[in-house]
Amino acid sequence: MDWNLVTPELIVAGTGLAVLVLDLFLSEERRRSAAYLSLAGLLAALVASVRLLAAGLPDGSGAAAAGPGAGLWGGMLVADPFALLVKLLFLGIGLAVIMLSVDFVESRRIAAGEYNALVLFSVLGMMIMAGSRDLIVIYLGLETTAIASYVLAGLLRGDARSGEAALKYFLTGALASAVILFGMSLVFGGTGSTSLTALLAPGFLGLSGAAPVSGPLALAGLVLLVAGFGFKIAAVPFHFWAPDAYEGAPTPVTAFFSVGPKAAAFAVVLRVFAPVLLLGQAGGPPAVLPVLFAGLAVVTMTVGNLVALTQKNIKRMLAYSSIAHAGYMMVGLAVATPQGTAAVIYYLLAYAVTNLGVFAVVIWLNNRGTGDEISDYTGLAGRAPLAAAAMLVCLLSLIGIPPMVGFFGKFYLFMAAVEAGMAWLAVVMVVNSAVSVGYYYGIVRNMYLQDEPAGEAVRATPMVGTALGLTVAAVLALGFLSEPLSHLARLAGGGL
Amino acid sequence: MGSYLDVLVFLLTGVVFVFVGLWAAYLFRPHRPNPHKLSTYECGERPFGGSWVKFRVRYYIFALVFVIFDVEAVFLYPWAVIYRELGLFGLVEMFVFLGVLVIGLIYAWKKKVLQWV
Repeated sequence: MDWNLVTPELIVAGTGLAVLVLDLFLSEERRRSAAYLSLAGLLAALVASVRLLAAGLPDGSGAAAAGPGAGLWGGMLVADPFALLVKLLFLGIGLAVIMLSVDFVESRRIAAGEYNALVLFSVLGMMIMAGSRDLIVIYLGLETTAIASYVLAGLLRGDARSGEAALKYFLTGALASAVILFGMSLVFGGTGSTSLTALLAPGFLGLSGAAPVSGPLALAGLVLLVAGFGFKIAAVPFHFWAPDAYEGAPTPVTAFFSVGPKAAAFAVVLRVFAPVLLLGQAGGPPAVLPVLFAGLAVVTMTVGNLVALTQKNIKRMLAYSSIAHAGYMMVGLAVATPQGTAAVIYYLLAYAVTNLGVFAVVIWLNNRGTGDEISDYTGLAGRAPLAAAAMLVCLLSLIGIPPMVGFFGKFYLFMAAVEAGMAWLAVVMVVNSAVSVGYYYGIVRNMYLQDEPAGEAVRATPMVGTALGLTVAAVLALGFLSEPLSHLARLAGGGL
Repeated sequence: MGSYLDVLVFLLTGVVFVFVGLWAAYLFRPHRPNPHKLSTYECGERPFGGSWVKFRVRYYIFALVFVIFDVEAVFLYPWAVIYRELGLFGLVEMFVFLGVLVIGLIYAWKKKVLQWV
């Protein structure tokens, strides 16, 4: 038993508890220390994860992938390259969200200790979700993330919309959890085990020519899991909560929702379904799964993009944009190839850094009491040229213009679809990207091409400025580093 | 299947028992209603107001704190039973668990949840 493998989780959990206690004994003026302690903890966990990842890679210095991949407690927690790569993403998201929120939390009088501790616990849940091969432990991580998120959505206590967001998020989230649990119980009924490896046993789904012992039962379980996680990633028939929750929640929390729990849910979907999809190519009951994912992908991206066109509030627009991007990512699942899996992992990274950049600009303006409506961005290039430029870079990345990272994300998904003989899906994706230009360009036009109302300059606070600088740098750098990064994604996807 | 048949018989017997009892009472009891008898029974007190009133949300927080320590006790019992087999690791593990709960208690305390106002 190697405790080293769970050091990132232990650090995050310990920091969360420490922040909670520290905040109780801090005077009002020194509340910022909670945020600084959280940042230090997340950074330490990030370093620990990088070290584990470097040691686990085949060309790394130390142990081969077999060591960490074996996992703890009989595979209940694993530290394979996939888990570690996604954990790096989660920790990075946590760092960015806390940096973006320091001033916001202070100015809106949000309870700083609770806020930072909840973000940490939520990140911890996400790490557990990504790092498990056991249905029960995955559910444990899911609830840890979800319960912290419900509270985060409602932290603006005087604001009725924040309460509404929290309630809607909680009710749909609870429903999703129930559906997921029911699906898990059916899978357990079919395999007699909560371990994911049992899904791949020949007799279970009727794979590799064996007669399916419990095909229909297992398939019903898997479809319920798709529906439940569909809620969590806001795929289209299950997306109604997202715009309201995103609009009402405090903006840094919205930024967190749009990338964090969503990426974690995608990580679980990859963990559960990628091996089944890859094996299912030979035929047999799982053949219906790619069709299901393809249908969800098409509906999700189309509805997300079309509804986003009509939005006036930027957080609602970004909610629909986020729904559309979930649709793109499901293309990588529908193709059911290793390339598709790797493309989803790459897109998760690309979308997360880009969207955090967009939200950094929104929070920049939010701290100055504006920025909720798309019309607030009129003439931003004159009032805050740096914010406008950063927004431009991130929006171009969301549209998918080279050399931003978003382009490569879409490119790999596109190639995976074409290579798998699903060119029609790739075409739908490209058409949708063209539609998305409509609403992203609306902001660009407001920022650069509209007559400027007489307004004074809006300056960023140092924390928001730093976070924005880092995310924009990542949007550009990850674009240029797309080759090594996609190599890493393929490696991670291969270990699933 | 046989064991489930037992459950079914048990369920049906339970349902029938209730209805037979009610029906027998209906047959034999005198039927003389008056306004006092028909009013809501509140432990002999004279009832006033409706039941749709606001309850203090504090009850809920107390219940929550209570449940946490209830669950703690549930976990402590099996731990105590195999304490010797678990050895030092089990002892440390349980103190970590208790420590996390104590942090929750400190939190509730400092937030003045334990005071009745």
